[in-house]
Amino acid sequence: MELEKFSYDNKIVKQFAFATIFWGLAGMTVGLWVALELIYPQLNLFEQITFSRIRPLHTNAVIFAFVGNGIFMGVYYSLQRLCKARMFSDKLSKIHFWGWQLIILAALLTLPFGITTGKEYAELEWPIDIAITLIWVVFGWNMFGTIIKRRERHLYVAIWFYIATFVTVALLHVVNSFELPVSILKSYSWYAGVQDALIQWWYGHNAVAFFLTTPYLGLMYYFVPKVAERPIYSYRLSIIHFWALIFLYIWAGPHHLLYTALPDWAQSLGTAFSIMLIAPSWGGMINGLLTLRGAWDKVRESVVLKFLVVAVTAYGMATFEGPMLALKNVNVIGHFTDWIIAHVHVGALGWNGFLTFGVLYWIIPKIFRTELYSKKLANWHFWLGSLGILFYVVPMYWAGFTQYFMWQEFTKEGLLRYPNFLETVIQLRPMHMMRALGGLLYLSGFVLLTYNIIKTVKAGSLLANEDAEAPALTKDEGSHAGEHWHRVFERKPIQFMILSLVVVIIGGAIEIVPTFLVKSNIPTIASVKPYTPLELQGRDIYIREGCYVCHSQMVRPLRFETERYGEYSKAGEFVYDHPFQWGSKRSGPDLAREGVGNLKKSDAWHYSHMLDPRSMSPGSIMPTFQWLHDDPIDTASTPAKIRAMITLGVPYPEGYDKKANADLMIQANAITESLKKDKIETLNDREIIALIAYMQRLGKDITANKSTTTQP
Amino acid sequence: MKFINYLESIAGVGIFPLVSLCIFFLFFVILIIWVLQVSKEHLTEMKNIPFNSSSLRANSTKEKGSESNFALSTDSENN
Repeated sequence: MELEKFSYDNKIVKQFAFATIFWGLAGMTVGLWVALELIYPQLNLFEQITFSRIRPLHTNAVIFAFVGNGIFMGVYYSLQRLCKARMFSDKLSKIHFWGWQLIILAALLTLPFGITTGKEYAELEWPIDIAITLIWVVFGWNMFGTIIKRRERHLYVAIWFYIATFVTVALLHVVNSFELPVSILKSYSWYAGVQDALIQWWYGHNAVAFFLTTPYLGLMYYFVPKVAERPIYSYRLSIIHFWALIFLYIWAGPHHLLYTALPDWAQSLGTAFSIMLIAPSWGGMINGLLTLRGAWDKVRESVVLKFLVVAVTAYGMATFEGPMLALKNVNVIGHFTDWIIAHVHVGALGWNGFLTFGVLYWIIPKIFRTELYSKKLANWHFWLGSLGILFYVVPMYWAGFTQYFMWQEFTKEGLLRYPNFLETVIQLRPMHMMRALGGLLYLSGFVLLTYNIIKTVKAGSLLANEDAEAPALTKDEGSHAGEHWHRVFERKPIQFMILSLVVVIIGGAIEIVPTFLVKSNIPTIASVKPYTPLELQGRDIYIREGCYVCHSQMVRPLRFETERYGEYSKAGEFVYDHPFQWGSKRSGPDLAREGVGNLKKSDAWHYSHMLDPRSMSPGSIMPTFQWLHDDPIDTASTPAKIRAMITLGVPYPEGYDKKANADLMIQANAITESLKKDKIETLNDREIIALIAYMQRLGKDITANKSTTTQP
Repeated sequence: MKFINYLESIAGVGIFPLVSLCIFFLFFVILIIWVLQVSKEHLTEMKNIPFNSSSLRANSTKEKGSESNFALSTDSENN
């Protein structure tokens, strides 16, 4: 058989590897900074580095920039070798690389400036969403092109994971990003309230599944056997692992919304599928670890294997913890607390971080044709990183339990033992200090890697085009009569992609369709009215400043919650919320009932609190938002915003967009007058006025009229 | 128009979940049957794909064993 000569493109692998290191350092540095801001609020030095604005920058940077580039590095290296083919097009590789970096740059230039959709892990505004879609298509095109022109008959299991990643991330991103542009940098989510929450967490959970997990499992299936120099433990298990994982994962999203206003059946479905997920997740982990059976001595010698083994172990720990957190009785402890932050970081630092480091230490010497500069330094990195993870997660677990126990404790008289939310906040300070130390250790290890890689690169020279040869696939190899369907699929990437898509759509559709379809899932509350124009502007400021990063708007039907915050939240309350703002973490108290009952504060209180939180709440860790007191409300945008809301189904009267600003000024004047009574002089068009209007609105609808009617 | 109206306009949308469940069940039953009866030869061939990289590189970095095909006998029990 005639051998064809070709070459592997190592240059693109190098570019993605360097980008992984660069953005990883940047994203984790921002992470360390936000961790310190929670301890020393004075570090919120100016508007653009305020905690609530740059915490999303941290999450986006580590997920989409660090892990994103890590995925592409690993995929571009392994895919070429598994297909025995060069990447389909060098030009597409180039567009993919630079396009992705530009998207990251766009995130860096928008999020700190408050340009955000306000949906967690999907904060980037609509033009960037479109760019992500286009670049993702370029990635897919390049990948499928390579697969189609391959010289290896069968698709190795790693490639299945890459295909599932491509198709599902595309689906999740497009569905969750349905938004109506109001201006070039502002849009409203197409969905509202409960439906928006369900879509968002279907996306959010599966972003974890298909961006942080499946591509990395693909990398595990390639790199663990390569580094251990032995094939994967059980290929049989990997087949079941793949299909079960992609099918079950897609259903589990609602476990992020337990005890919320999401219909109960959807919550139960999320819990059931989350528990089932243990099976494929652990199947995968065991498959990875048992690959080393009889070769554990290699782990002592190879620093790369050390990283990989800890990564796979962290994957096992996080995927056991996840289903446990999906049980209602456990979730009640973890939800809204720092436990979730600990859980996420076991996955992010352990699984994604360590796997990336292992792959970097393995790939760079290979493509630069040299040995790693210092194994000793790499070992130091390993231990610093491992200690960093421990110092990060253990205090955060402690903090999570502390929060829960303090929130839910009652005195013998039946009163909350810690009625002031700040008592919990102050209690967490030592844990947050330890966490920051953990982050610093982890980041220090990463700095060692950077130094080690720079020295390695300088000592070697890049083999940009690595020569290879393999026989071409002949046509007759493509068809075998009577062959099993799965083996046929293993050779047909497009059909494989379609089958994967069908499998993931099923789970999503069953959850999402009824929530949109069955009216009784979202009982209409007659007293719930659309926001006034001033409240709407205030809500947009609330979203811009990222208040949802620390404050939830979801009172769960639990006694300790209703006692603290007031009546529990109902699905019907959120029908005009584009996007929903339920939040996922309570570094500050819930705000769903901020404008009513015991929680109601005066306009003057809010004014002063935003100017200097510690003047009103000593010990508070909230940043100051003093620019709200200086900047004018963007009233020019009001008509467009009202029109957009009407398009989305919010029942403002016909032609209200033209009258909206007049109403806005009437309400603003009333608040300015109220402030004047408390001896605060301010102009009536300042942003703080709009935010006060929104804060005072929170919870009002439900108390205005208690009748809740379910329409058939 | 609110999003709900688009879904309402799908005729017979109620059958979708049931069809989905059937697809799910059948798919996994067939998959498991196949996985249990698939030949060890095929599994060995598949799991060795990463070791046939076809690279012609002869350089200083060690890639011990990376070009070899692992024999069926080494781990036939774990395919």
